Amino acid sequence: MAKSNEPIAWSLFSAGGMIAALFLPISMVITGFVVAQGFAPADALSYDRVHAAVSGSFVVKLVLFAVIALPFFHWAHRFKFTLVDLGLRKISLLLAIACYGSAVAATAITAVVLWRI
Amino acid sequence: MSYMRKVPNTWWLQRRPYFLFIVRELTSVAVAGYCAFLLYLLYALGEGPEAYAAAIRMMASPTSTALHAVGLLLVLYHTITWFSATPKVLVFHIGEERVPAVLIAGAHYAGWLIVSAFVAWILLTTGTPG
Repeated sequence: MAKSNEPIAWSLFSAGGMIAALFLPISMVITGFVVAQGFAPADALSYDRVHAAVSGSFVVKLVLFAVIALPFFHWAHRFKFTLVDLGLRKISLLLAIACYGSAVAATAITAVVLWRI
Repeated sequence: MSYMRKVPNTWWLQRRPYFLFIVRELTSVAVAGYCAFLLYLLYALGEGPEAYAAAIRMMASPTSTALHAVGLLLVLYHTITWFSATPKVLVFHIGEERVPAVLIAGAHYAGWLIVSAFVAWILLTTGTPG
């Protein structure tokens, strides 16, 4: 059997899908509605509070890194196969490079952004 | 060369389950889009108080609210289909008995509830955390 990167891609897809399922709905409710509509306490997402929480803690940065970076691999996997299923089978290698490449780039950007805080 | 039957590219519009399959796969676009938004918030946080305040103001705009609403529906569809599929992926046995699907999916939904409550508690309480 030929060597394949499929197990790595599938593990990242799976981890990202689980993180997205667990964390994103509540996060979207909070950023999109609770805070945006002013239902949250005034300093809940204030600069001082969030900056203090993130800048001083490697653990908080690591959690944010996982929550943001892994779902990009979930997207890369699904989006690539969706485009193939919708008729782009001939350029499937190009799609794989574009999708997984974007996920790798997003991961690097996430690391740098968190590092700078 | 190929004996594969030609499938028209509109195959997914022909049956409801096919259509729902494509919707489920495309929820990943909302997932990635929202993570890009979180990344933008953190970038603004690193830029300083003014940039962060501008990002938070943008978050309260009608465009942001509309995008959040559409995104939330798609991400909820992802969450429900993901947890409902867990019994097919995770097969456990206690002795000879297979752990019922409803327990495996149920454990994930319970975990979702706990994680959501915890995230809300962390993000919405006041004062300096930790």
